[in-house]
Amino acid sequence: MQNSEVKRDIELVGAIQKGIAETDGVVTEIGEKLLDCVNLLRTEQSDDVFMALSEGIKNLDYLMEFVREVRKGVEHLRLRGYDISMEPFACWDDSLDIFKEMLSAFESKDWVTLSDLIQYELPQILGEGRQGLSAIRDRLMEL
Amino acid sequence: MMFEDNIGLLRSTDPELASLLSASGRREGLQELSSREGLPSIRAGSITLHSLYDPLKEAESWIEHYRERVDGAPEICVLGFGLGYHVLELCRSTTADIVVFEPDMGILKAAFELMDLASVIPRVRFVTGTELPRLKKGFVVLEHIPSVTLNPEYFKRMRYMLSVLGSIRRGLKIMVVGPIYGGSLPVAGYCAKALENLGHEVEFVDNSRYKDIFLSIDRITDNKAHQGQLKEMFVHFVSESVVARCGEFKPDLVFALAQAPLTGDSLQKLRDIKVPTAFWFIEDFRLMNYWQRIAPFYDYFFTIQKGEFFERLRQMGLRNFYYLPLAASVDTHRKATITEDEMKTYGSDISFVGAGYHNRRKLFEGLVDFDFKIWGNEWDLGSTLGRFIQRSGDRIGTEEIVKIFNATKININLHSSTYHNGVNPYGDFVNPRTFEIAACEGFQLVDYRSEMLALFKVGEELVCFEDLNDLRHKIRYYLHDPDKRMEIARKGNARVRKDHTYELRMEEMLDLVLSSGYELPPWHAEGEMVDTLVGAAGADTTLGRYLARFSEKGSLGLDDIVEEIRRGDGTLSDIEKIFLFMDSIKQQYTDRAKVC
Repeated sequence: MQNSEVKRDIELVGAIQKGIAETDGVVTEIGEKLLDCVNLLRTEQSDDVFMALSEGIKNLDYLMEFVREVRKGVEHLRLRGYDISMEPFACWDDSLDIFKEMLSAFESKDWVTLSDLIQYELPQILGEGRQGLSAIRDRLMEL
Repeated sequence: MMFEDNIGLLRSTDPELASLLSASGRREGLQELSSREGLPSIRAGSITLHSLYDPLKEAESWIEHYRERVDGAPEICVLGFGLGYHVLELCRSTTADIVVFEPDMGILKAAFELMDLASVIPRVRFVTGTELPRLKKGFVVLEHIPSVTLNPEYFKRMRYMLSVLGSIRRGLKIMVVGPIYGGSLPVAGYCAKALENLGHEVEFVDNSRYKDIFLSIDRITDNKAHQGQLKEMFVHFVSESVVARCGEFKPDLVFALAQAPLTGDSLQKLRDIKVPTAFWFIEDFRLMNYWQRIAPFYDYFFTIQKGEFFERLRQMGLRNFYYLPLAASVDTHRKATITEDEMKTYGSDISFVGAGYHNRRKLFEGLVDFDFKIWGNEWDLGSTLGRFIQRSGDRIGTEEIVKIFNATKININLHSSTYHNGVNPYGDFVNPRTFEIAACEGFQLVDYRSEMLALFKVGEELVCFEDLNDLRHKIRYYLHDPDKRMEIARKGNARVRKDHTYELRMEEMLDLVLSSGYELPPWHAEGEMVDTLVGAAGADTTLGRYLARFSEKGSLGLDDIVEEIRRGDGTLSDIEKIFLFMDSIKQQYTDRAKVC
């Protein structure tokens, strides 16, 4: 292994660790903001609620994009021979169906289903996802 | 089984809806779903109506969201029923009256099949169409979002109608236009007073100020054609002055009484600037035919006759016409204590108050053997009735009329006719006297009218006669039974107070106007809703708190704020100074625009 490659691996590990650390608080915030929307979504249809909801869903999209980037990075490290399990990503894979369902409910204006998913499914998904990202970060720290 | 139980309950409160529901099927494409707890939910198309996780908790949250509005509201309108979880919870949370708007019979049917609605049905009035029921002042509107999403057009319309009704209940600006003279003049005053009593801001255009000038036209020339032309020009002037006042007062509704001097041209101008107009034609359409000329110019036309009159209006292509019987002003016509001296002046066994129409002159010739007093004008003092006519046939004022009704043992009330020799056997509408005598707790014998049975319990609340023989027989009978007279008069009085006051009529008139496509005039757009302004300013800010004091007004413009500041006294606050400054800038620009 050349020094420059090792250096790039270290940089990549650092970037992933930093990203996960910064995202940790964001995941909680996204969940909380969407939960705030739920009660209002069940009771009123003001522009503010829809703006907050759109913002929340957009942030979820960014989060998924970030997770995809992390996955690419981890896959790259695995190809480089590092022993990192892909298991922590499983919960994010499972959440894809729920996110699709959320998007479909949003598009068809099925606010009850969207609220149900945000209120009853999303907290668990985000909680498990956060733990998954933490597990990756912890493993990367061990390298 | 559930459906049978629910529909059985509904049958006792709303049999019509019960029949409709029994005959209805479920909405096409309606999916019956089950929540995680096993409770029913439904999905119509892509819209889920209740939570598939916890519909009960969802309903509790719904109530919590609306808690402030629910507490203290006298009546609650719920837009959308779905399966009714939220309404069940609402019934538990409040004792207020509840009205549910649900246009979708298929969904209502599903709710009746799937839910135990025993605690809801006796408490709730269901509205499935677009007619608003009578609602209490201060009612609030709550929305069941999925139901609203499912039928957006219907709920948009109902939301608008309820918002207009809210404005009406909070108080509208109403211009009441009276005649130059005539029988509808006092009624115009009673209507104006009643509307004020209901909390509306009223401008009464009292055209009786022009009476002397108008009548003096006949003395200018003997030429009838010229008289007619001059009168027409004068009415045009009075009519235009009403339009001019509208520009200043900015009414939400112009309400004109029979003979009001409003021309077609003026009414068209009001229509062009979208000021709604209503007319109460409190005359006999068979005798007075000017209604044919004016009715098409009014947005809402009220009558005291139905049947043939409605048919004629329909033939003219009109739609917005309604039956609105006369009433009494219970502030004016009331039971009064009569002194001994007053009893000598106003008292008699039988009396009549009114003008000497042909049928009255003829019929009353048959009553000359009674202790009889006739009050009013247009009587022939040289006739056999001459000795019964009081004050040489002068007009009698309202205060004295009240005393006469109170002092007389039997008040005779004979509806006028210019061609019958006594009772008009085809008479339909009921005159103001009927309500006024009853409001004074006077006892009356009144000629039969086809609309009477719908307004009074004949024989219990007042007594009717068919002809002279019947009248004479009943006069003799009731003169000898004062207890019976008092009992009937008391019941008649109670009935008028309960059902026949001008306040009730004006309320009904406004409800009918509203349910017939009423729209607030454009100048409402000049003001914003107070709630919106307070929300924008922030309820806890100084500005928000200042604006909140106008919450009773509904909509608010700069003019309203400035008017309020000018009415007040003491040192001006900073906010008040800013508003006055803004007004002064506005005035400068307005003046400049006028110059330009």
